[in-house]
Amino acid sequence: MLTYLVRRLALIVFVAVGVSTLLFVLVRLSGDAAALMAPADASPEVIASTRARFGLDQPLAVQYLNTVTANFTLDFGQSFMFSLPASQMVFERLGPSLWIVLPPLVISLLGALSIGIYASLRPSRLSGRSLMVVTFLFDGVPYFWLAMLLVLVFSINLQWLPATGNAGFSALVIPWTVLSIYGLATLSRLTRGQLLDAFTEGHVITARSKGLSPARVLLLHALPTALPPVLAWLGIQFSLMFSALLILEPLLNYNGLGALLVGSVSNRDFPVIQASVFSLAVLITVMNILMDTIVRTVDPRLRTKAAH
Amino acid sequence: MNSTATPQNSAAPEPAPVPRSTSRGREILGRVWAAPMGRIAVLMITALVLVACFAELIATHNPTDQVLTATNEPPSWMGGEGGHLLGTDPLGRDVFSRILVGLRLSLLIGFLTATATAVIGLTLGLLAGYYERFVGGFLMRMADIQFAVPFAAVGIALAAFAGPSVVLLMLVLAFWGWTNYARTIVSSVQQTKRLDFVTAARTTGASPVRVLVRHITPNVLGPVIILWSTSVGTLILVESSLSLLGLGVQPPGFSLGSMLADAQKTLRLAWWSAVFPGVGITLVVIAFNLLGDSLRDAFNPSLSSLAENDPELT
Repeated sequence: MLTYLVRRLALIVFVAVGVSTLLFVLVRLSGDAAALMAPADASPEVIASTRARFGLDQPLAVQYLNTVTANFTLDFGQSFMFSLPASQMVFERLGPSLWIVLPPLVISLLGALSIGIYASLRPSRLSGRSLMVVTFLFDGVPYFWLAMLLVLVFSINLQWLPATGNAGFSALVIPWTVLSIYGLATLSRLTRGQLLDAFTEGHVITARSKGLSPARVLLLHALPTALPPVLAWLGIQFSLMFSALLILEPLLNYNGLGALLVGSVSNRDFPVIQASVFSLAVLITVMNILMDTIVRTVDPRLRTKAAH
Repeated sequence: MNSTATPQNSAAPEPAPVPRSTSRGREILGRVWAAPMGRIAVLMITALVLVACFAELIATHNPTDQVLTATNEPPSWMGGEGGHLLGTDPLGRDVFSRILVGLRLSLLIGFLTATATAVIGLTLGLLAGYYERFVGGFLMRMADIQFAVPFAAVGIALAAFAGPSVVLLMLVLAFWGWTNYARTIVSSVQQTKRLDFVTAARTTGASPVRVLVRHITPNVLGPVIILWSTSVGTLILVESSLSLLGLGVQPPGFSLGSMLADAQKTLRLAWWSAVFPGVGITLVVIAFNLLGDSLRDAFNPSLSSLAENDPELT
């Protein structure tokens, strides 16, 4: 377990270095880094002072080392637009973004388990099949279009909900609904598939044939077999939802990390871009490691494999 | 399409056994066509492609004509004037005709990007699996990094630095998507290369390229084709979502996604110009998801109801 944890922590460091490198290369590839990092339509003097301020007149290797070490101390420089530390701006937006991602993540997991269990117990009945058809159709619905439809119906026509902004609980209803459906569609299909596979496994058939109640078979034998891939997918769903935030937050005028990143890209606010992408990457990695660890704890097959 | 492999006798509940003489590809296509889900997918995609190819013939209006006297006209069945089946947008352009023509660019972006991604992913996955230690280790660590950075973040940053361009976007998407393929096939490449027939080929002096292309690729092609088919829909979604931020297809060109982006600002005035392009995207994505699912069943008959009836498995 200890080696496992050490390796996972090394992965975080590795991803952090990798992302810093990626950003470094991207910026250098797209031309004069100083012109890029300076605010849009800056004068030559401003570009020259930017070059000096960011040490862009130094050799590339020195620049690279400076960037990576600075990123590790979460020092991304001052925002051009707001003259605040970029890392502080990112941390302030992280809370609101997590607040629209985490509840749908929990809702999708619980909902997917209920739908998946129900549908897997009735795989050939009409109810089970039609549930799967519905989730399949929702899987094809673009989340951003769904958000637009909900705004159209509930904000514009019925005026039940505010269309936009961080206006308290009611403004969260639309993003929560959209992201929950986004997660539910894939996750419930996965849960059902895994459960159906689990029902054909030897130990589950044994449990059933020795006369355990269907509930015990399901909860103690089939579900633990089916759960690991579902939980692993939850980690992927987390990163998918964070990607969706980049589109949803500007669409719904919600002030989270996604809107910050998109806004700072159009302002060419380079320190903020760097800080947001870096934090996003680390956050997603941590979340996936968390899920991976949970999967390991839940799944006895992996535990024995790790002991070897 | 492939009538030889469809059940000749519809009274029998089990699908007819596929003749051994047909090639693997025909067998798979036959299984897809034999399943109702697969048949719906094939028909839907054929219809969508035909519509996209002959869009101008079906269109009722010129899709780029701006008629400023007929802006935000509701659909004709809602009492709108001018015979606009799905209404007009805020610039007076016919929404129905634009959907038909916009579908072409959306499908093209999806097909081309998905194919490029599949080629890159297959190549890197083969290399990573064949040269396990260094190349494989390096590529898989790269995949770990890419996995942690949402594509949208990269696409947005790049478009902002280099200017919005669809070609650039497609290139980046193609280079970003390889990890899915590589992760999926790398372990089966590792397993296949240790099988006897591969060792035999190697000892008779086959070059690594020949071994990879002739002997290993056929064994990992199934997952690649499945991933390809679902990724067409996903890529059309990604293009549409980036269009919402103004980073997708640039005017005068338009795709279903950029139509949504235009309509987003005038949701209050002309809901039809936002709703119907979205229906189009949804149909495309559902069609390719269906195809992906039926391909998955066709490649793994043990998972579907074929299991009891397939003579090759018992």
